[in-house]
Amino acid sequence: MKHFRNISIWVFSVMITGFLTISCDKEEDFTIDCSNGVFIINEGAYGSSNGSVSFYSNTDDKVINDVFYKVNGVQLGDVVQSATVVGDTVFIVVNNSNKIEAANIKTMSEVATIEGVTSPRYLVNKNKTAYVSCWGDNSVKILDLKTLSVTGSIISGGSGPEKMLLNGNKLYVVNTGGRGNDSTLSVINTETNQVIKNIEVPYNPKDLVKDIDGNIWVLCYGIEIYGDTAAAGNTPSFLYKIDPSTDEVIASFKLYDNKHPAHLGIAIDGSTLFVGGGYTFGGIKKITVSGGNISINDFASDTFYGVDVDPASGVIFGTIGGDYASGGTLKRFETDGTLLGTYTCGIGTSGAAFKNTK
Amino acid sequence: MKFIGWTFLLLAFCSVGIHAQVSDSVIVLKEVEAKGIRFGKYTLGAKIFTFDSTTLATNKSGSIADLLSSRSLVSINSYGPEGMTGISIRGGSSRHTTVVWNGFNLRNAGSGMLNFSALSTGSADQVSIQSGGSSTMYGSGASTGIIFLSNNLQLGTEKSFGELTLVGGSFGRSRLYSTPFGINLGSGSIYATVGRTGSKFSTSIKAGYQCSENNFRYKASAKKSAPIKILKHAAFNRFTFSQQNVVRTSKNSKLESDVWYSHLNKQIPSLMTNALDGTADQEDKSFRGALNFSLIEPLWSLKVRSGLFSDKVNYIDSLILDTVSLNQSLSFINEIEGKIRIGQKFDFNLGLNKTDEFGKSTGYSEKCKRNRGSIYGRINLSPIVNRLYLSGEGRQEFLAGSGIPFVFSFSGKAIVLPELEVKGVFSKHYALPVFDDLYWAEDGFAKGNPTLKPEYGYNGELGIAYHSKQSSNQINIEITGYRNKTHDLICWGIDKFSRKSMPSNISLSKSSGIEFSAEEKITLGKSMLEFNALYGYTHARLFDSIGAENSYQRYYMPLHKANLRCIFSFKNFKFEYTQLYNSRRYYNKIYYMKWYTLGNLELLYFSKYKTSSYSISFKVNNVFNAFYMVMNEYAQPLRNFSLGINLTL
Repeated sequence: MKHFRNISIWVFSVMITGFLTISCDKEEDFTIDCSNGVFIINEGAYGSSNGSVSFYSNTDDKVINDVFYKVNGVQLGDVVQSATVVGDTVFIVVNNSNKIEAANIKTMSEVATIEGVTSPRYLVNKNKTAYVSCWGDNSVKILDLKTLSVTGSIISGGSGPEKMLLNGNKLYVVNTGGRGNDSTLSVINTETNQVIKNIEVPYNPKDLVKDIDGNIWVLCYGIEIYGDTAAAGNTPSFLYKIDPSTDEVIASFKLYDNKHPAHLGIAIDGSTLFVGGGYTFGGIKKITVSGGNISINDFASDTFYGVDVDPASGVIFGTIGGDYASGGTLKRFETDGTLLGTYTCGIGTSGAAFKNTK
Repeated sequence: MKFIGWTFLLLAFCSVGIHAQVSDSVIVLKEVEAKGIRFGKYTLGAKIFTFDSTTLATNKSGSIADLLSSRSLVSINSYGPEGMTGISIRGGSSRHTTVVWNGFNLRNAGSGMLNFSALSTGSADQVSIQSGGSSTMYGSGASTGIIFLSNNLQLGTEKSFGELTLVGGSFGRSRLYSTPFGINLGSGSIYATVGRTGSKFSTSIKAGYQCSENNFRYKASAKKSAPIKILKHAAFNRFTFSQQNVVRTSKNSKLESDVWYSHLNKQIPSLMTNALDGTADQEDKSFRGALNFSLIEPLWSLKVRSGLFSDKVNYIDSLILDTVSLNQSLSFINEIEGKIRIGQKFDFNLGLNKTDEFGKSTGYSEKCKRNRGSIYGRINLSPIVNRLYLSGEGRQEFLAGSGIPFVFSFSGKAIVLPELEVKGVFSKHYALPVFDDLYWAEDGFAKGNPTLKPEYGYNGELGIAYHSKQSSNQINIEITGYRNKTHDLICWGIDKFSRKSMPSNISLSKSSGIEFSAEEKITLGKSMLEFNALYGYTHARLFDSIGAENSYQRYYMPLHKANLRCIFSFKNFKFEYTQLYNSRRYYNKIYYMKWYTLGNLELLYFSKYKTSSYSISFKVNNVFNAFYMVMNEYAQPLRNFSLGINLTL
C-alpha cells in the first residue's frame, strides 16, 4: 500500500500543477480616449518587436504608455518609425515589421493592418490618399484611405526615401540614402504620380519643413565616414532653402563640419527653425536666418534622439531614446526654452505625432 | 501563478518525507567518471546532472538544445525549432556557459557563444551538466555552468556494432521522406552509427542528417484575432559526422582521435509581428578535431591532448542586401595533465594549457589573434575519517595586459548518513572579453571596446543529496542552494556619450537560487513506475549601477522553472509524460512574456533478439496545443508528432 500512497501523492502533485497552469492570467480592461493630445513614438530596440506608442494627454499633462497594446492586446512590432493622425485615425508606421497599423484615436482600437509596404518610414496624406515612403524598394506607396490598401507605387528619384512634405500638387521627398548615402530631393507630381524633378542637395537630406513664406527648408545630415577602426572623417551638415515655385535652391547654410543633426522643426512663427536629435548630435539648436546670415543658438542640451514642434501650440517635444532596454524620455519645452515637463515613455522614444498636422 | 512551483515543491517534499520514513536500506551512488572530465573526476561537491542512455537514444536525431529544454533546468533561448539557440544556467548568459567536448573548452573566441541547435545529440555518447562556476578546471567562460559532451568508445572484446535511427513527423515536407507516390511523411532525420571494438583498436563512425520545411502551425499572437497561421521561411537541414578511433599504444597507454563536423543551414523566420515572411538565412559550419594520449599507471597518470576547432557562421538577409555577416574563429588548444597519487588519501593533479585563437569577421577591421596559456591544478583528500572528502583547485591564466585573476575552488562532500550526503563548493571564476567585444569596428551604430577587463566573480553552493535503494524501490533527491556574483560583467548597451552600442564592464550581476530534483523508481512485478521532478528558482539580477533599485532580472530568465516526468513501463512498452513549466520572462526592463506550460507524451515499444534490439517510439509534443513563446514574438509550434525507429546491432 505504501507504494500506492506515494504514487497518489506524485500523481496528485502533477494534476494540481496541471490545473493551476491551465488557468489563465486575467487581463484588466483598459480604455483610453486619445483625441486630445500627442502620440509619442517609441521605436523599440531593433529586432525585438517592442516598439510602442505612448500618449501625452493635453488634459492631464501626463503620458500613458503602450496604449495600442493595452487596448488591443497585440504588440505593434519591430521599430515603430512614425505615426500620422488623419481625422479620427492614427496610422502607426512599423518599419522593420513592414506594416502600418491603423487605430481609432477615440478608443485606440485597431482598425486595420496595412501590408504591402516594405521598410515603411513616414506617411503623409492629401484628402483620402496617403503617401508612404519605403526604404525596401526605394518607393513611395500610394495608399487609399477608404479601403486602407496600397493602390500604387512611385519609384522615388533616390535611395532611402524618408520624410515628405505636400505642397499643392507636389510631394517633396528627401532621399536620405537609407543604409547608404544619397543627395537628392525628389519632387513628385501628385496628379500624375511621377517624379518630375530631383533637386541636388548635400549628402543625406533627412528632414524638411515649409516656412511662412512658402519656401522649403531641407536639413542635410552629411556623412560620418568610418575607417578601419574609428570615425575617420565627416562631410558637413547643411540647411538648404528651396523655392517651390521653381524647385531651385535659393540659399544654403553650412551648419557643422563634423556634427550631424537629424531632425528639423519650425516654430509657429513660421521662421524660427529647430535642429537636433539623431544618433550622435544630441542637443537641440535654435536657428534664425536673417538675410544671408544664420544664427545658431543652444536651445536644450541632452541626448535627444528626436525633435518635433507642435504646430498648434508651438511646444517643442524633445525625445530621448535611452538605453533601449528601459523607458525613454519625453521633454517638453516652450519656444523660449522653458522646460514644461519630463515624462517616462516606452523603449527607444524617438518622436511625436500631432493631430491633423503631420 | 508564482506559487505553482512552490506548490509542486511542497507536494513533492510530502512524498519524499513519507518515503524517507519507510526506507530501511540505502546505498551511496558512486561518482561517475567520464572521458573529457578534468583529471577524470567532476569537481567534488558540484551539482551534476547526467542524461541517461535511454533519453539520449530517443533524442539522438535532435539537437542538444532540444534535449536540454525538455529534460533539464537549463533555460533555452531559442528563436523557434532549430533556430539560433543560446542557453542559460543559474542566471548566467550563454557566454557564461561553456561546452566541454572530450575535455576541450569550445568557447567561441569571436562571440563567446555556441549555437546549440547546430549541435546534434547523436554525436555524443554522454551528455552531462555541471552547474556552478568551474573556471579553475575549464578556464574562461565556465562561470555558471558547463555542458559536457563526451565520447566513450573503449577498447574491449572483439565485436562489431551498429545503430540506425529513423525519425519522421510533423513540420512539413521533407525531401528525405518524400515518396514517388506523392505521399509525404513530414520532416525527418536519419542517424547511423557503425563501429568495431577490439583489445588493441576500436573505431566508430556516426553520421546524421535532419531536414524539415519546419512550416508548422502557430497561433499568430500579433493579430488581434490570433489566427492560426503556417510558418514560412523556417526550413533547415543539419548534417553531422563524427569519427573516433582508440589505439592501444602500450599496456597502460592509448591514443584516441576524435573528429566532429557539423553543418546547419537555416532559414530564419520573421517575427510574428512582421507582415513579411523572413528573408534571412544562416549557415553554421564547425569542425572539431582532437587527439588524446593517456598513460595510466597505478600511482600516476599522464594525459596529453591537442585540438583544432573551427567555427564559421554566415548570415545573409536578401531583403537588406548589405546585411551580410561572416564570422569565423579558429582555436588551437594543447594541454598536458599529470596526476600523482601519494598514499591512500592524497592525490595531486597539475595541468598546463596553451590556447591560440584567431578570429575574422565582416564586423572587424582586421584579423584578430590571441595567445594565452594557463596552469591549473587540483589536490584531492579522500576520504578523511571515512566520511569527508575535500578538494582544492587553482588556476592562473596568462595573457599580456589582460589582468586575469588567479581563480580557486574549495569543495567538499560529507557522508552524514549512509544515505545522506552534504556537499558544497566555493569558487572564483572569470571570463575574458571575446573578439566581438574588443575589436568590433566602429560604424554609425556600434563599436567595440578594446579597454574591457575580464569578468570575475564568486560562486558558492551547498547541497544535500539523499539516495535510497531497495529491491523494488529507488529514490534520489537533491536540493542545492547557490549564489553567484560576477563583477565587471560585460554587457552591450548604448554608450551615453557616443550614443552607439558598445560593450562595457557594467558594475555587477548577482544570482541566487534553489535547484531541486527528485526521482523515484518503483518496480511492481513486470511493470515499473518512475517519477522525476526538477524545479529551479533563479533570482538573477543585473545591476546597471550600485543599488538594488538599479537592478533587474536577467532577460529571458524565468524565476521559476519546473519539469515533471512520469514514466510507466510494462513488459516491452513504455509510456512517458512530461510537463514543463516556465514562469514569466522579461525581455527588457519593462516587458515580459507570460508563463507557459507544455505537455509532451512519448510511447515506446522495444524488443530484443539475441544481441540485437529495436524500438519504435511515437511522440506527441505540446499535447494540449498550448500557445507559448520562448523568445518574444517568435512562433512556436502547436501540437506536433514524430515517429521513430531505432535498430541496434
